[in-house]
Amino acid sequence: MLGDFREKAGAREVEVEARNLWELLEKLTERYEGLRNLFFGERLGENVHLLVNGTPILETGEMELRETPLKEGDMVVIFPPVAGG
Amino acid sequence: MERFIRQMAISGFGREGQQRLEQSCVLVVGMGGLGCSASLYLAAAGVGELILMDSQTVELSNLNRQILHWEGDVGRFKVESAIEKLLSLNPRLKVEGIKEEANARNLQELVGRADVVVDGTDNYATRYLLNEVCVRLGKPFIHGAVEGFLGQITTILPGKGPCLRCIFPHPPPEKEGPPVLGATAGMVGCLEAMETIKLLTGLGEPLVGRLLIFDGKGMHFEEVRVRRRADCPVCSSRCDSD
Repeated sequence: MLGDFREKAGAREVEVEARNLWELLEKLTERYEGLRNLFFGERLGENVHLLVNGTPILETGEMELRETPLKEGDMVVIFPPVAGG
Repeated sequence: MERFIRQMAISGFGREGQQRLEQSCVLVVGMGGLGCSASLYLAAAGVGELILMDSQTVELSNLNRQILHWEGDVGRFKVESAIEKLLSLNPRLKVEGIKEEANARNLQELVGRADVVVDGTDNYATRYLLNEVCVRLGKPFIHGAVEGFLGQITTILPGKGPCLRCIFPHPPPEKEGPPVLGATAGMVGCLEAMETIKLLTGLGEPLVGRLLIFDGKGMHFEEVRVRRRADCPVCSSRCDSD
């Protein structure tokens, strides 16, 4: 987790057992309540970039994330969008 | 050459590296926080030619981060303000200002003239356009973006590694006047200049397939491995490898 996510969780790297990306985000918010607004406050995809093993997740609705399976050892990077110049 | 003696002394740089910089042309699109910082260090390093593109004029609220524009420049075109400072720093610089908004037509010509293209823009619509033109013409594109204490940078070498659209398939929401600390923009602009100089001189390892995220609050640098997408609408037919 990077940026605000890291700050709210107070952790850079955590291990979570989750079958899919949606479950991962839910488990993270259970563990770190401060992440809830960041993950689910507005449209998820607008607030969060997700990479699974270096590949970005294109669709970030609940259904799509539930259908994105995770396996043991997968590395998920969660970071905020940055657009200014 | 005395001006550049301290960088020519870097192992592997030498007179040859300096000559490569002098013979190079860099297009900087956007003369805001990133573009000011990047172009300042490129001019100082002795890059021979800069093309600066920005259609806007200087506003007072720009001055916390757009370091080439000073209070007396408010109301002037940003490219004029920047050119004056850059020529004052390095009178041998060849520099051209383009007071136009980036579009497919003018970018085709300007990117075609450049050896490297630097992202100084503040929106993804222009970034995506730049990315597309750079991929089509096979030109290196240094992407940077900032917000608050956060910054990100990656280097796109068409045919090698992911393009911007691979890494960011969808644009983040546009914010009117996003918060930016000047030092964040300065930092990322410097990193963009460094990547540009590395590509032009052939030194070092470019930031290809890697997204560097800078978090000034915690003072962390994080490197994230990023991969090309086989279904990328921009580069999937051009990429040879990761």
